[in-house]
Amino acid sequence: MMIVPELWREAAKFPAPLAWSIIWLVLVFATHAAQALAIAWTLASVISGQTDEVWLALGMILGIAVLRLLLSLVQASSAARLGGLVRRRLREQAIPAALVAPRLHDTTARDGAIRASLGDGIDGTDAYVSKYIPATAQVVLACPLVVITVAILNPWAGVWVGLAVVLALTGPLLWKKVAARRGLNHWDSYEDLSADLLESLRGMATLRVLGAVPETRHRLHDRSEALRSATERVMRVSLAETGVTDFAIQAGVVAAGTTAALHATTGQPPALETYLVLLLASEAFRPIRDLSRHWHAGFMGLTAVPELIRLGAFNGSEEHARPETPIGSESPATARELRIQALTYRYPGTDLPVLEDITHTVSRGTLSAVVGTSGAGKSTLFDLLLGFLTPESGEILLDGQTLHSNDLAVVSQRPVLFTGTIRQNLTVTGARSDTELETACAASGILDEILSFSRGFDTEVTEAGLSLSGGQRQRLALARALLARRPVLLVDEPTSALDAVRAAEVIHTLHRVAADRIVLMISHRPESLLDVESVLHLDNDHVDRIVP
Amino acid sequence: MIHPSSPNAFFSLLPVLRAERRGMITSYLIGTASALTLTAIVVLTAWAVGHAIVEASPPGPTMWVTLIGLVLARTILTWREMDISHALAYRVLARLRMALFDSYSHSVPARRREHSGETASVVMDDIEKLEFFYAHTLARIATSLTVFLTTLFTATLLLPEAGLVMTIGAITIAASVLLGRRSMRDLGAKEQLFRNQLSTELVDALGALREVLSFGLIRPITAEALATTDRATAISRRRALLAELITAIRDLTVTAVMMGVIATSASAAGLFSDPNEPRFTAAALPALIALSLAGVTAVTEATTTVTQLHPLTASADRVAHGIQRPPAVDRSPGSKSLPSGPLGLRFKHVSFSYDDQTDVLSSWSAEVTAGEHVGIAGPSGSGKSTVITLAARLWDPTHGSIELVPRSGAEISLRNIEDPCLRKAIAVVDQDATLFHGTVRENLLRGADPIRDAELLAVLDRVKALEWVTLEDHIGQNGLRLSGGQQARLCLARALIRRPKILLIDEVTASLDSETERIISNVIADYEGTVLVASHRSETLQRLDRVLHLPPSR
Repeated sequence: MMIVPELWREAAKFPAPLAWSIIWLVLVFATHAAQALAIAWTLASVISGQTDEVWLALGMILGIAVLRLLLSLVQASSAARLGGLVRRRLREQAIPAALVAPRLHDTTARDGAIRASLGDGIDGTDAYVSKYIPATAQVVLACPLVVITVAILNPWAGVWVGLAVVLALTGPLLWKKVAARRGLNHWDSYEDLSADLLESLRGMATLRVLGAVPETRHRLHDRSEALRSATERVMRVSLAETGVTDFAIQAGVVAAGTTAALHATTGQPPALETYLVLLLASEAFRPIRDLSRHWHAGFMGLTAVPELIRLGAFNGSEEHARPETPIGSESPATARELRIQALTYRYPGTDLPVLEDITHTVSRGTLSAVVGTSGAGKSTLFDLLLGFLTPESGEILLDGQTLHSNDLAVVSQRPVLFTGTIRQNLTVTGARSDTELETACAASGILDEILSFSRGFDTEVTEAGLSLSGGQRQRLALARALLARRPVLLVDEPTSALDAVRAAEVIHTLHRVAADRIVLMISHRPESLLDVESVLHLDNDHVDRIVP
Repeated sequence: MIHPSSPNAFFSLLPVLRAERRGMITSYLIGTASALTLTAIVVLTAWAVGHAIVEASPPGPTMWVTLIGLVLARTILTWREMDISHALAYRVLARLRMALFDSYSHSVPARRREHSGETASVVMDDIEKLEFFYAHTLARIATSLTVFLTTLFTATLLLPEAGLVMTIGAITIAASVLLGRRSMRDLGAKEQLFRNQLSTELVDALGALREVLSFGLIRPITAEALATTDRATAISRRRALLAELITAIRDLTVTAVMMGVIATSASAAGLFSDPNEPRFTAAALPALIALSLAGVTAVTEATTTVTQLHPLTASADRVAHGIQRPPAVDRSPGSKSLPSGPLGLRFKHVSFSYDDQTDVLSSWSAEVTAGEHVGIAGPSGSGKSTVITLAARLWDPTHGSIELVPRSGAEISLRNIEDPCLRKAIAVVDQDATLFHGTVRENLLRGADPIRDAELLAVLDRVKALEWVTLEDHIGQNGLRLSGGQQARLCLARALIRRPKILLIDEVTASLDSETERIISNVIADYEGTVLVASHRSETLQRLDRVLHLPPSR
């Protein structure tokens, strides 16, 4: 019996489905025990030659079998429900815990690894929660009763069965530590392979032009073999468990059966009793066989549990309910000024700050810009405004209040779109009317192109928007930001992928938008900066090399 | 996207097992020995009990020793069988993973874009699902049949009627394999669809983390993933119910067989008629019941295995499709190597379309002589990037050919050049170039021959990257530690260190600050080989020898 406390705790949060899964399962077991009784009765009646009783007992067997059919259906339903509820809850906790700002600057973060944990990892817990947990309860509730019954009928047979049950349940614990260690290795290999694989699929075009396919294949082959050997090692431990359990079951049944047979030769006990000992001894192990079967089906899925713990999938609801913008809530429609006060930031592990003592005010009414060479800290400044980084000192105020991330809309340098339609991409922050969509798209210089697609706003965008050109992605991202109705708009190189005419249009739009919101733009193009009065110059005197 | 899953998917996956024939046979032999041992244990115990009750004769020492021996043998045999069959399955899965990777490496990027979350889900999730198929199917079904035939034979010897009841029961159970197989297959396909969808949602959210955070989309994204989970749960619940129903019906049949055996043997023992001439002794009744149950249960196990395969059909189908994807380029290996010296590039009546309907390029011809620096200009959608992609041989043109032209000697079509040779000769830098998780050195050397650090540093110096990066720096997935300009310069450095004869560049200067643009333009201008640059920026195009203008596509 292997207990994974985290999963038990999660299951216990759904007391009703958990209780019903167990109750129905125990009732299903009761029908098996009753059937054993009915069979013993039939056999005894055959020997004593009582025809009526034989027919009656056979009828009982049939009735019990039909009842079991119904009970097992109900049980399957509640068990599946329990498993689904737990998976849902784990995702509910793990997804927000995985989507956090530090990932943006974490060089060890790998999307493929997280994909594996949140997807397959959480699905892998299902077998344990929906099958193994009820089966464990069944063992605890049913086995002692059967053992006691056998012991009443025949004390020695009872002792044998009891010992075998204890061996079957505790034997596997000998390997518990080894199993846990190997499980960790297994999941690490699975994640590594998943991460390398997703990365090479995403970058396949690059790998092919670099001629790096053979070397990547080699690396993936090593990863795949590592996963294979880790899987085998986990499996071997699990098979040792299966071996011990199987031995205990067979030995227990044989010992109890022969004990009963020896007793029967004395001629003392009625035939019914001897048959019953034989059949019940076998039934005593049914819950254990179930347990072993479900373990075999579910142990591989449990290897992800330590990683899920690390991710925060098991953290209680207290931490989960951190303040976040409720959907649809709009922050104050407008603001007057954004004040950056003595802002300093240093990447961890570096000596010199990338931004030092920056003070600047950006006001509504006119377009503002940030300029500076590569690595001067322009993007770092945006990340600080967005709250993705925490400043070492200084503060950022919007009309005297602390700036919140939901005050801002942003167009990043390489905007990413979501898989879905153009409309879905434009309305991520809330539903908008077609007129609003058209106005925003026209202002961003993308409307004509959208309307030229045969499905217009309902055109599907593929992964990360790669089906559109860089310029189209950029202008759609601008439209999306305009539709977000936030008082501050940050734009990072809005015209980089645009030709001269389109670039001028977009800059014109930004000037116009700046009339009713604060607009801060990073730009390198002298022509974009022509009429911009407020410019923040960042220099890279302090620039240290990038962080290790 | 649901492919119509065909049950034949499994058959197309069987050839992978060919290399494992010995393992399969061993697995069958040990599995059968184990199952027969178990049957013997149960039957002998029942036999001992039956005789003890009816004839009051205790089991003799031979019986004791046999039973103990059988129990020990069974433990070892079970363990060996599981070990062999699982190890075999894992070997096959590892082989399938690599077969899929090979297929993808020839077919990605496909002309119709597909989601990497989906393809990743095929290679990781679908393949894992097939473990059951490879570990538990063929050998186990053969074992079940052997056990059934053995027990049927023995039971018929003991009491022919019992054999008849067993046969009828076995046929009924075997027929139950047809129960719900369509629904099972459909439910499996739906489950897979939702798994897929979840994978896509997660990959999207992680890939767009910056926009997810800045637009406060964590709740809607979580809500969407939870909705997908709920839908998947509803489907698994239906599948669990259907599976349970089918199992219960088989269970009922097994019970009926047992009742039939009791009734026929009771009748043979003379219970219902004149007990003058009993053909059967009640002492053997428990053993006969155990025997017939073991036989019918073996058939049940075989049919259950088949039923459990139905929902996996969709996965088998996707893996089979994945292995046989249409390649993006002609897969017949080119045999020609390239002569030393500079190379030019010739486009001969090149046509290309993404959807086999409208040509992006139609019968387009152009020539770039060795050492020349040429630009490609044209309105959005006119096929500038397509020209670069075709010249990089990520795809083959639908018509016409692209050739490399040495100064002396005949031109060679891209299709005929050995891939490693081609990749050494041509380097590409484009907007969507990927930087990989790992150090700067690892990124520069990806796919290249070993190069001394001094040389790597010299190239980094040329793109003015030494001020902000060292070879040991970890840059994170997609180069997340670097700004856009820094990423572009590193990609250019990666192209330069392989000393290509032809450098293809697609829109890299577009999103850069003027300083980076100047650095990159200088590096390109100083570059001695052939250069083809697709760009819409007049500043970039000005510095090239000449510019080819693509007409707008129709």
